[in-house]
Amino acid sequence: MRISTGQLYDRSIQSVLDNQGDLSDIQRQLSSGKKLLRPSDDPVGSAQVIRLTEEIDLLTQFNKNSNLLTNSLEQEETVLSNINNALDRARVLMVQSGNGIVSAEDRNAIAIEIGQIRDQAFDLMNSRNSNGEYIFSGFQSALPAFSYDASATGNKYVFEGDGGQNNIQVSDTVSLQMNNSGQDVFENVFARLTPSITGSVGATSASLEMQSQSAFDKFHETNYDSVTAANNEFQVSIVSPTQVQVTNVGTGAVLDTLDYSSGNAFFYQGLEFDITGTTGDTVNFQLDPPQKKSIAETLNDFVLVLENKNTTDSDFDDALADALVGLDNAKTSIGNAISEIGGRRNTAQTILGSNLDLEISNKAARSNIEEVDYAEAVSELSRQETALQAAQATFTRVTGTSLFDYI
Amino acid sequence: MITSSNKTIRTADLFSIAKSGVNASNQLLNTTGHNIANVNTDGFVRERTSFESQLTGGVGRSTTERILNVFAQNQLRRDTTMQSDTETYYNKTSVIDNVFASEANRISSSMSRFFAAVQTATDDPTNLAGRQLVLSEAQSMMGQIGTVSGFLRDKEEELNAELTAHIDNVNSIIHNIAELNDAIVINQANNPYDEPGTLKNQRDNAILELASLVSIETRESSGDDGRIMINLTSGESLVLQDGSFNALEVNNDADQNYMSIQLSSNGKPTTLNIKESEIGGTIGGLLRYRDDVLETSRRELGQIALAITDAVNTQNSQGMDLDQQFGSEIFALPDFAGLEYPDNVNAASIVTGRIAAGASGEVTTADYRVTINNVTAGAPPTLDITVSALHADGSIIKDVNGNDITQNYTAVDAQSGTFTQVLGGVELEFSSGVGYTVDDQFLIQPTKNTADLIEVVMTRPEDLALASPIRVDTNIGNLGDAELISSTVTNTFVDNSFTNGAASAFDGTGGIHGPGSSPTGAGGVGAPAEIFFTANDEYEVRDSGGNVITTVTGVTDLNNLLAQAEGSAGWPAAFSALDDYPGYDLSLQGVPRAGDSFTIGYNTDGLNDNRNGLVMADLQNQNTMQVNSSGSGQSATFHEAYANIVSDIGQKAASADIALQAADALKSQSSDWFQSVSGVSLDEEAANLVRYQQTYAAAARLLGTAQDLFDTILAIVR
Repeated sequence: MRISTGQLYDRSIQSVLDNQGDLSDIQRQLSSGKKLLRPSDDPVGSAQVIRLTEEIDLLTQFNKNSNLLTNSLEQEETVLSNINNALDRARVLMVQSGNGIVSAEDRNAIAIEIGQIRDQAFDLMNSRNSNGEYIFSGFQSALPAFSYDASATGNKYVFEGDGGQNNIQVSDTVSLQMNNSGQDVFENVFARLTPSITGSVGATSASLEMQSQSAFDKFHETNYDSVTAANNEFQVSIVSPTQVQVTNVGTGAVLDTLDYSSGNAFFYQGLEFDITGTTGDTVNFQLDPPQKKSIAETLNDFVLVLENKNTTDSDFDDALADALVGLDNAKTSIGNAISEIGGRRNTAQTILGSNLDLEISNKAARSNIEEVDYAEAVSELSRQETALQAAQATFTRVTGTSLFDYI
Repeated sequence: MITSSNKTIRTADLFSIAKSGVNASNQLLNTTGHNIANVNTDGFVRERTSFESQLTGGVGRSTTERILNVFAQNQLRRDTTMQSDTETYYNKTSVIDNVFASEANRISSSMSRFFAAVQTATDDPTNLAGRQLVLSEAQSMMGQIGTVSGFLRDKEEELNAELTAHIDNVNSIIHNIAELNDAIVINQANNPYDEPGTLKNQRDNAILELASLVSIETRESSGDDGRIMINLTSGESLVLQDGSFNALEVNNDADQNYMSIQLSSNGKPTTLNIKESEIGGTIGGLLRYRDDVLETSRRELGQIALAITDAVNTQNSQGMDLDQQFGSEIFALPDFAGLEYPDNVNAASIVTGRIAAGASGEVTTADYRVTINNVTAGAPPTLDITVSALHADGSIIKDVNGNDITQNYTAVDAQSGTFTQVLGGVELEFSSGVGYTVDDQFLIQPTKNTADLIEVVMTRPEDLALASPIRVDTNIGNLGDAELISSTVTNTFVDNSFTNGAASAFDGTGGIHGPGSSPTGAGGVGAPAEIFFTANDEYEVRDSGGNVITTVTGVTDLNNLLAQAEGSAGWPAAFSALDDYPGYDLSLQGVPRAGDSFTIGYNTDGLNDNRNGLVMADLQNQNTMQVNSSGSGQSATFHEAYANIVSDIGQKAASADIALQAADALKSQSSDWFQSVSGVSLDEEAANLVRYQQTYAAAARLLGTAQDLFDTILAIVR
């Protein structure tokens, strides 16, 4: 083939230029540490890098969220444990006060101590976090969760917040509850369920006493009707000198027929009835509407009873029973909340662990795609260098000869 | 005597033979010298001088011609067209490629940072610093998108300038070739023996340059007068046989920045649109880059910007801010003006478009052409219009079944302030009333120019609506264990007169409609404000006054209680008549007992609530974006859509790189072929030089011999 002079130079210089281009690419890869210099180097890979980076950024944020969540849960748990411990002491004091030999002065001293526990519990129920937000107020965290109104007719410790619960995202799919509302933990606690006599016809005397709270609770739970109040009223009628019959006033259903002798107690659903009367007499009793009391309220009620020197023994017994049941229910509720918080902390911890694992594997995947393999790149560099040197060396050899040199 | 006279001629003949030999060698040396001198001249074709011997003795007249293989030359032209096409495309695309390589990850990471900021704010909704961070990150995100979008806008301007310059260049080359044609005809007529090599080289150079700009074909003139006629590969003539020529010019349709190329016949008023896909060369490469890469990536970026900002705005408007009001706009989305087509009769009428609030999921990269079909006067005047979805190049987009995406709308109100939603989440305002003419057309480009025009308008961090405006309170007296699992808000539009069908149950003053103020009118029930269970599978929906709105019986699950109520017989028709009333709902779980109730109310003082913030942060993971321009098929997250753009551009740049390497190889091969035939070889010329020098010496020696012979004869006679 005929080679023209221009061709000779063009070909030689082209191979030098090509080699220089390749060398410069390798040099850029080595100096930046990345083999993906632009999306066209690996279009699919660069899309993956964007997605992986997004995922890694998200995981970083989830980890921040998780830390925040754990801190806040820890604080809540501490507050609840403190209340729980205080209540243990209150329970000891309550039982002590029920001891028959305790004098009025002793009751007074106990009242003072329970009063302090009440104040402590009230204070803890209005706990605030580091930002000054009330942690048990639900969404309305700028306001204290509970307020005290001495002149209120019903509950004097009033819940001011709402049932709002904030969730925190700790992974793509899992969000965990951060705060427990005071409504759930403190307010939604049943007071002791009670019956009361509403009236009697003909009977000389009628009274009723709690014999077994648990048996009555069961009866109350199955029979209480919050829609039709009449269904909560029951009638005990003396049908013969030896028998009484219990009927539901609202529905008229006959619930039971019991053995009876006038003046002697008989038992029905954990209740001890003491009715003196003759055949045809009736006594009505009702299931009192269930009440919910916060622990502060329960303690306060009991303190008032302790401080009152004119309290009769039977009233005191009722009050003590109210206080013990209320306190136990409150402790159950707080205990549930604590174990729930512990569960959430565990979940958060597990998810944090898997997030960290994911982060590592995502980072590894990203570096596989975009980061340069130095050993490979360096050997490539020296290969290209050799090629460039060869191209440059041959340039002078090929173009250096001319027939003109010989004429 | 005749023979003797013949003998005298023969003597003189030696002189003339010698003279012709000297002349011929001289000519050969000239040609060699010319070749050597032009060894570095671009487009020079080596020449060769040839002779014929004369019957009467001696060498005849010389003919100098270029050594050329026409096939090699044509191949070189075709490969040059191909190479400059791919080279231009690659060079332009790789710039965008590089921008997305560096800026790219910054846009996606700024999106990540924005959503991370929303999460941080959500973690602690009352913390103003966290909220401020959201606004700063929003600024930074829009800044990043704006930078890239502005860069792409500059690229369009640059491309238009370049296109105009290239067209001018094409025209001057065409002109030049036509003139060279004329000069060659004259020259060849004057001297039929020697080829006008220099002129032809110049013309070949011009043709090669033209071939690098557009794809052409050449033909020898049928008259064999040395002319070359040129036409575009698509058939349009550029240089004609009669010496005249046609020129290219740029024009535009509705979009002034989107140029098209036309052929104008010199001196004639007619113009011809040129098929841009067949232009080829640098100009073809530019147009291909514009349609494939630039216009597409601008629209895709615009789509992401619109989708992300509208989605966040919409979510923010469904929440309650720290001032206990509904969230306001975080981003201001720009309106886009409808562009008039040049054929419009009435050039003063105006069409304005914008993205309908909350319609971000429908936005595609399509442009839209609005055609006025009918104008009816009235108060307000109404229009019948046709809206077609267009590709960037103006062709109509087809749906999955291959049908045009075109929609007719009748009786569209034409007045200022009334927007009508059409295709792709776009809504249009026809503010010129009756001032439209039938068949007038407007071009709407929702995504092309918008990405860098979106602004962050929220300045107070308090305005970020992280709370939900609805709070559901569980009645403390509830005996059942049913509890709230979620409440949702879908509509917060306030219109207490209910003239707008979008009205919600919110009264705009921190409450929901009570009895008498809801759509049911005076004496009617209010908006749902309480769920009261009358049995564990039956509930009443009550208003804030305790009036029963409807009763739902036979409840099997406690999800979306108000949606279930909507299906019940008692649900007020006045509620159903509105698009989304009341605009909220709630779901419970557990078993309720008769008498349990849940009250729904405005989330007054609910500042620590982060429910709306959680939904906002979760937008990052939602598949909300349309990925193809026909608006069908799978949708993607913002990051996925962005990754698609980057990988799409990378893909194009990568395949352009391969195409360029192939074109380079082809061109260098055909260039080799051409050079191998027509290029000057100095070694060859050196050999020729020695050879012709010797023939010159021999011919000169012949002259000396003739002189000696003549002297000898003279000496004898003396």
